[in-house]
Amino acid sequence: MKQLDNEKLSLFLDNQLDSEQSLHLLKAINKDPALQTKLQRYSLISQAIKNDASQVASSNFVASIREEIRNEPTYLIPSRKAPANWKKTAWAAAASVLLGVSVVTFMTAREQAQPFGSIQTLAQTNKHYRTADNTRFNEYLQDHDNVWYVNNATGSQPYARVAGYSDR
Amino acid sequence: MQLALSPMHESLVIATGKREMPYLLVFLLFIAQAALAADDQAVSGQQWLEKADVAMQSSTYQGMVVFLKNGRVDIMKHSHSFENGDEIETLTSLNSPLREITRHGSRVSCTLKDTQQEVEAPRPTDRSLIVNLPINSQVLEDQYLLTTAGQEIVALRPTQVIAVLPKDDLRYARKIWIDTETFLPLRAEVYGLDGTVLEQVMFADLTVSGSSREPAIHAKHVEYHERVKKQAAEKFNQSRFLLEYWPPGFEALFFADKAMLTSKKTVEHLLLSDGFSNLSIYFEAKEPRERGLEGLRTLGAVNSFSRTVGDIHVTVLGEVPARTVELIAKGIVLR
Repeated sequence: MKQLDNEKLSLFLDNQLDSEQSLHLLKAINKDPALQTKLQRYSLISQAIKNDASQVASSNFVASIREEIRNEPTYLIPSRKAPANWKKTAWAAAASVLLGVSVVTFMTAREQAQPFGSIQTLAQTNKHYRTADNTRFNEYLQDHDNVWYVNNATGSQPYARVAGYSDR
Repeated sequence: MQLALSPMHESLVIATGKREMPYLLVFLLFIAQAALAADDQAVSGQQWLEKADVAMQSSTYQGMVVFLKNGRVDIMKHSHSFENGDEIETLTSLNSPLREITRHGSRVSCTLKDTQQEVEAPRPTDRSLIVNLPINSQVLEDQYLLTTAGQEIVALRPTQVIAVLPKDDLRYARKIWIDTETFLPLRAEVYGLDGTVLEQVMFADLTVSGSSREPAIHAKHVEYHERVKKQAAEKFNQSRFLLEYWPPGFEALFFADKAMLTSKKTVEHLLLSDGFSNLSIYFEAKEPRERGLEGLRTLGAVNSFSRTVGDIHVTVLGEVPARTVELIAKGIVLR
């Protein structure tokens, strides 16, 4: 069973599990703290292998979100008076609700297929900024040490100290 | 044994009485000897460094050098010789990416072995490729305590250890191992404020073939150093930037416009040095909606601090503690 779980987790992280199996696995993860920890660990390893920017949800991610929703304040906004052309408004409201339900259904389906989609997007955004910052920082670093000729790859370290003086 | 008393000692004898005099004299002699010993040690540390700087410029030598930086190790073949009176210094990598860095006088270039492409460094230097030593360590006595710290063997050669201890927390402490026979620095370590080793460079073996025109070469270096300092200071004083906090002991060595190698962006670059540590300040025009570097960054011994001043993006970067780069960056204003 454990071997099966491991395989499923691995497939799940590689987006190779179908929606039904994903949903089933997520339910199992929700009930089993050990699986939650394993998911977190696998996710970290997977991210680390794929790229240098990793952002992983903690094991109590789902629980914390649920808690946040529960603690969300209730806003008591006074209702407006019904306008005279209530029929038009009712049709517009019905259309909005229908559109809203469609969007929510689509989002839920996508979320089930890729539960960490939003996190990945955030990580990618951060990575974009971080990569740009790293590029700039490396460029300054290499210029400062005159070590551009040593290695131009990101993350490479300068070895020869060649900080220099002015032109003759 | 009779001691000849100075007028000061005589007056002390009168003031204290004859019974206490021998004890007082012994005490004073002890104090004087301790003070002289301390002076000797300070001068000695300074002299060792001066001899090391001259030896690096005037000796013909080669060996294997190990660099330890940010948890990574690299080994390079190093040689220093002369050609038509000019210094030739080379560093050849033994690991990928294969490259050879050559300093011919003050011209520095790199040949990438894979492509045989030769690229010239944007900033010339007449200083060693492996260890940074001040040309005149005497001027650093307000910033550093230079003292001897025992003898050790490096690369099977006896060395004198020199401790370079900063008197403030604006720079790092160092230890330099100097060959007692050739005066070449065989090992250097840079320590963080918590005492951990941040960087290390060390000869694994060394062959010295001789020395050449020692006084002439050193005089040439001193003359060059003075000239570039004057040029840099004059240029920077005419610029639109002002450093309200100028770190004590640091001197401007370079100030010019230049295009960055990768991004091709034009920046104004000010290079400062206190002889051991170098600091670069980059002034770059901020483009609309551009998100530049902000705040502190650390990579091993190097710290950088970036901020925006008006329409200029400023980055201060160097082998100094975080506080130093932050103080300088926050003290930059536009004239």
